[in-house]
Amino acid sequence: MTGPMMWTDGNMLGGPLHDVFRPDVTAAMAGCSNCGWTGPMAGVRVFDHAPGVVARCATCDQVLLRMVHGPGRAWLDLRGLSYLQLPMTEET
Amino acid sequence: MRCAPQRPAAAGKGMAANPADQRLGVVVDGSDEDQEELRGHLRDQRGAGTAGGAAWAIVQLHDQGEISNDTLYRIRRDLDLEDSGCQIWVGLFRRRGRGYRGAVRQAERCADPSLNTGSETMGTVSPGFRGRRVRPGPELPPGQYLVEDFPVLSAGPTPRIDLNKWELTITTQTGQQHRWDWDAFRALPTQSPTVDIHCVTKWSKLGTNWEGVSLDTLLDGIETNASFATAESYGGYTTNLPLEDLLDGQAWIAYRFGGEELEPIHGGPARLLVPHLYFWKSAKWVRGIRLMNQDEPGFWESLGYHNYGDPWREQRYWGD
Amino acid sequence: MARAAVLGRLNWRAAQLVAVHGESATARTLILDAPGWPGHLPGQHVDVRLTAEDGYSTQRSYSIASAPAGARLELTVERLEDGEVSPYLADELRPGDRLELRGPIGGWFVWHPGDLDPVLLLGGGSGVVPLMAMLRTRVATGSTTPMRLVYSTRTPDTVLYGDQLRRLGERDSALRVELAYTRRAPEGWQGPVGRLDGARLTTLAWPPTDRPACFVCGPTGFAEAVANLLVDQGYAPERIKTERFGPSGA
Repeated sequence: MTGPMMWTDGNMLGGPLHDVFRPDVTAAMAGCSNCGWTGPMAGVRVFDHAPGVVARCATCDQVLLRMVHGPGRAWLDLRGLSYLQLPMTEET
Repeated sequence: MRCAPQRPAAAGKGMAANPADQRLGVVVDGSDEDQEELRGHLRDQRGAGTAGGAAWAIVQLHDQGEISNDTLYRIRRDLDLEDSGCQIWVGLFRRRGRGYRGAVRQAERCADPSLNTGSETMGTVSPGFRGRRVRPGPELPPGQYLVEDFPVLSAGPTPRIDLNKWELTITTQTGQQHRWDWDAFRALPTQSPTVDIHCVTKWSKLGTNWEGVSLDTLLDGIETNASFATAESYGGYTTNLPLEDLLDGQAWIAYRFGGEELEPIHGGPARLLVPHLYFWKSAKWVRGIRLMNQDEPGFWESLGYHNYGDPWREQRYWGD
Repeated sequence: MARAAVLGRLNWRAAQLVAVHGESATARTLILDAPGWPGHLPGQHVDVRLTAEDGYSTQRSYSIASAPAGARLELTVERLEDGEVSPYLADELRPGDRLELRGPIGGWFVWHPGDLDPVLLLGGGSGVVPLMAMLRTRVATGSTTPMRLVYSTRTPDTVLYGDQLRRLGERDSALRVELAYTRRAPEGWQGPVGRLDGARLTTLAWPPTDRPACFVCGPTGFAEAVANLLVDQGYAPERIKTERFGPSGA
């Protein structure tokens, strides 16, 4: 592989995060706690060629979200996000 | 018979390294009578139960290497299942806590095939797919596969480091700093270790050639009674290990791989090389080693990966 | 039994290769049968998992190329030189063989057939695959939504879906397909050859005042450049959705 572009975008977070978030996380809006960027999770930079999944802010590179999938359990760190706004269906 | 026994997952000499934790598991999905028969016929039973309507049992076999057709036949014969309509799944299942989770889950899958619960049981095999690996060889830690190429894994973008600004800093627990710029670093005596490397994502490379400065050389003359070290990288990555694991010829700051300058995607200009631990500890783009009195879990160690990471004891995750 | 598939859960399911269809010298379409497939929206992708006989497994993501059609779905795979998975899928997997897939995944980069706004699709290289799913779904549902595809590719030999794109462009005045060649054009080509620039884009695309829904898909460099071009030309940034294929898709 060549070049520093080793990431895909947040559209591929749907797979690893499907067990954690019932609503679709790629359609969620997010805020970066470091630089204040806001936008869709689909637009973050995802490094998935790693021992875990790392999503970074496309503006400042700060780690927004990390996930490790082990046998029978997963660890999730969301500290880099100032918020996550998830699309929820209205239940009436 | 409804179905022939399936080939087991991940058989190979390497898997026998930890016999206390692994047993050949047999899962039988059949009628209640069949299951009763199974329980009655087990030899060397290490555990048994039912889950999802199938019986599972763990059977100790003496030859834990290749699972041959003869062995499978012997299992069916010993369990008196030759003529029954039972489906049998045979595989290497791993013990966790008090049960054999893999075997239990496989039994649940027998009842509900839509439950594909994960990596310990074998997925649908695609014929002829081998991936990048070569045949598993000798001397591999448990769960590892040999690869021919050099996979690139990264938690972030490859940093662009200007050699004119590159620095390696060793900071002691008192805050004292020892610094080398690129020229000073390259003037130090070097070694050319040939080592095996093992990544927690299961690939291994044997006999890799490196050139670098031993941590014994760098720490020579630095007074410290610190017990721990944290390696810090350009780009923010960190990893921790006991200081003694950096000493006595176990670690280098490497800048050449396979006879060439270390490429940026593999950690160039220089990376830490600690091959006796899982390769996430060999921090790429290293910029410093911080000696500490307290152990501080690094980037992956703080999110589920094992604090120490010995591949031979398969210490991949917390609690392993 | 109580743990049968929960709505919305993504489980791995087995799929069988039914047939293959060559698209170019380096790409082919896999026509798969996945019993129980819940259907999908165009733009969504699947994770494909391959397991070797000794249990080694690895997975990759592929965009769905087809419109929803029961248990059938199509993936188009381009063989990447040093790929681990793509050479196997592009060359070796044979009808009758099985693999596992998980999906459909993705709720953001999707086109809903009920949307009436005009749609601008911009694809680079194999980025055209999910956009093809959108075109095919529009046709299959009988939608009359105006849709325009600008497809940037290197040479006439690298074009995917060439015949079908030609026919689509001819059948329906609300559907327009524009090819942009970056290295070499076919004999008799009148237009420019080279990377898409802002000026060329405006001649090929809906004007910004139409407020089209824009879907940009391709390698990272293409997607970033085109998204920037769109914004520069005055397209509303909130109407632009991108999907980038990094080099990790090998």
